[in-house]
Amino acid sequence: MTDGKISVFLVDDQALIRDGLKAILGNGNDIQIVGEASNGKEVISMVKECRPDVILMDIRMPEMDGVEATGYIKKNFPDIKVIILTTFDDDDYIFKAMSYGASGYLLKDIQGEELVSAIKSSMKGNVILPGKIAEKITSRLSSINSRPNIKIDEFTEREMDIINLLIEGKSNSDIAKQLYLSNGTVKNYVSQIYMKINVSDRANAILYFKRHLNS
Amino acid sequence: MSVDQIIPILVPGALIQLALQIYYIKQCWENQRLSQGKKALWIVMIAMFNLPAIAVYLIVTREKTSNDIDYIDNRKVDRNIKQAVSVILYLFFMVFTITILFNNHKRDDFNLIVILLSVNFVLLAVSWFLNNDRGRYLHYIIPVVSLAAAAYVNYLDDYSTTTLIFLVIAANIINNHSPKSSKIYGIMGFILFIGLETAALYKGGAVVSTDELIGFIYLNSAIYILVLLAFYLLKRQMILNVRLKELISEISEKGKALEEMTVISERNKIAGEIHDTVGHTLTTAMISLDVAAGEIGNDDKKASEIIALARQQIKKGMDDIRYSVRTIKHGHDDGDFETALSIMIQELEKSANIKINSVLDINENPIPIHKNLIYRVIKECITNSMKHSGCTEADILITESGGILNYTYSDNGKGADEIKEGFGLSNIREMSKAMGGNAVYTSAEGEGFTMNIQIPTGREVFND
Repeated sequence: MTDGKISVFLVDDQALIRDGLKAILGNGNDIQIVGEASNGKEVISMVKECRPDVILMDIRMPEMDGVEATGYIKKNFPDIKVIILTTFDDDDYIFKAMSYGASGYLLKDIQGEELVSAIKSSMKGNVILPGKIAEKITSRLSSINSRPNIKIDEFTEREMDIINLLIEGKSNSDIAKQLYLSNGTVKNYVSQIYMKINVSDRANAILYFKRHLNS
Repeated sequence: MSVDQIIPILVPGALIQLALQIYYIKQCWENQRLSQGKKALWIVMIAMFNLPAIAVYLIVTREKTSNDIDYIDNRKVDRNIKQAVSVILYLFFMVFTITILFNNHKRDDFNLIVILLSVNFVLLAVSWFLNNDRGRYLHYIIPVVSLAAAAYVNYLDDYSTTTLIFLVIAANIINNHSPKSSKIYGIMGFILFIGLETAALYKGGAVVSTDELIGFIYLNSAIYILVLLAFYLLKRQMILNVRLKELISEISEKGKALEEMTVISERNKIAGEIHDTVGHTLTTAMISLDVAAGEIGNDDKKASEIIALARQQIKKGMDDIRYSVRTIKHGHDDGDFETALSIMIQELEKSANIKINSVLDINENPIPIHKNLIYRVIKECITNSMKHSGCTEADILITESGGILNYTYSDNGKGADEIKEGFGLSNIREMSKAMGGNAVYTSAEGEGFTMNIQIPTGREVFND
C-alpha cells in the first residue's frame, strides 16, 4: 500500500472490461491501478515487479486461465489478495480458485462502489462474495466460535422445539418420536445447538438454556 | 417281487408325488392369472393325472413373453445353433440307420425298410435347404412324408432304435419349421407314432392286456413328449435370442433418437430463453442508449438517468441468463435448493445403498458457491460412509441461523477412534476455511461419524 492507496492489478482478456474497471476504480482516492494483463501468463510475469495489494482476476482467458494464475500467485506471493471476477456465479472454476486461496469472487456486473468496498474488505482478510454479503463475512474462524452470547431468536423454530424438549430432560429418541424426525436428525440438531452455544455436553447445554431462557 | 421289497422306493416316491401334487394345487389356487373355471379344471387335472398334468399346467400357464414368436419368420433364428442341431441330428440319424440295417438285414421286408430309410435320409437333407420362400409346397409336404415313412419303419421293425429314428425326424422338423407349424407336425407325429407303435403290439395276432397297453402308451407318450418338447423349447429359445438381440438394438436406436430429440428440444428451449431474456432486454437497453446519446449536451441529467435505466435492463438480462444457464446445466431449476438437494440425495441413496434422511431448515436459498460446497461435502461424506463405515443410515441437517449456514452430517456406521484424513476431508476443511467458516468432524469406535460445518452467509450481521 503506497501512500495509503490500495494498489490494484487488473487481469482480463477483454481490453474493454479493463478500461471499464479502470474508469470505475480510478475515480476514487483510495485505489490506484498499478498494472494490467490480458491473461494468466502475463500477470505472473509482471506481478513480481509491481507487487499489487489486490488482483482482480478474470477466469476464462487464453494462454493461462485465472484459476491457474491464482494458484501460482497465492503460492509464491501469499500476501497478494486475489478477487475473481466472473460472469457466471456457479462456476466450478470459482470453487477451485478459492481453494487455491482466492479471497472470493464478484460478478462482473457489480456496481462501482460495491467493487471498491469489496477491494477494501479483502485487504482486511475478509471473504468476498457477491451481493451485499461481501463486507459482512470475516474470514477468521474465530469470528464464529468466539461470538458472545447467541441470541435466542437466532435459533430456528425447529431448534427451539428441540431445545425445549432438551430442557425437559427428554432423550434424543424421545425427541425424535415426538417431532417425527429420525434419531440421526435429532442428534444432528443437538450437535449444532451445542456448537452454537459453545458447549460440549447435554448437562451444560441444559444449564445454559435454563439460564438464558428464563432471563 | 413283493410290495415289501420296493417300499424304499414306493414310500418316498409316493410322498414326493403327493407333495408335488399338493404344492402345485396350492400354487394353481393362488395363481392370479387364471380364471376360476380354469383353476378348477387344472386342479382336477393335477389331482387326477399328477406329474404329467403338472408339467402341462406349468408350460401352458407360464408367463408368455411375446405371442408373436410363433409367427416370426423361421429364418430368424440363431443360424449357427440351428445348423449345429441339424448336423447332430443327421449324425444320430446315420448311426441309428446303420444299427437298424444290421438288426434287420435278414428280414423279408428288408428292401422296404431300406427304401423308407433312404426316403427319410434324402428328405432330411433336402429339408435343410427349403424354407417358406423356396420350395414352398415341398416345405410343407416333406414333414408329412418323412413322418409317415419313419412311423412305418417303426411299425415294421421290433427294435427300439426305430423309435429313436422317428424322434430324430420329428426333432429335425421342429428345427426347420416355425414353432407354430412345429406344433401341428408335432401333434401329427404323436398320433402316427403312438398309433403305429400300438398297432405293432398286435402284429401277428398277439394278445395284449389292458394294463400292458396303458403302460405302453404312457411310456411311449412320455418319451415322445419329453424329447420333442426339449427341441421345441430349444427352438423357441433360439428365436427368442434373435428377437432379444433385435429388441436391444431397436431400443438402443430409439434411445439415440430420443437423445437427439432431447438435444433438439433443449436447443429450442435455449433459443427460446435467449430470445425472451437477452433479446428483449438488449433491444430495450440499446434504444435507451440511443435516446441517451441524443440527450447528451442537450439534457445531461436526463441522459444519465436513461443510461442508468439501460444499465438496469442489461443487469436484469444478465440475471436471467445466469438463471437459464444454471437451469440448462443442471437439467432442473437449480434456483430451488431443496429440489436440487433432494434429487441429488435420491441419486446418492440409490448408488450408495444407504438410507439418507435430510432435513433442510433454512429460510433462503444459499448463494451458488455455498450450494456447491454443500453438494460436494454431502458427496464426500456419503462416499466415505459407504467406503469405510458400513452404515445403513445417514442424516443430513442443514440450518441457517444467526448469519451462519450450519451443515451437520452423521452416520450410524462403526466409526473409528482415529480418522485418517484423506484428500476429500482435508479439501472440505480447506474450502470451509476459504469461505470464512470451519469444518470439524468427530468419530469414535461404535459411535459413527459426525461432521459439522459452519459457513458465515453474511446475510445477517451478528454481534461483533
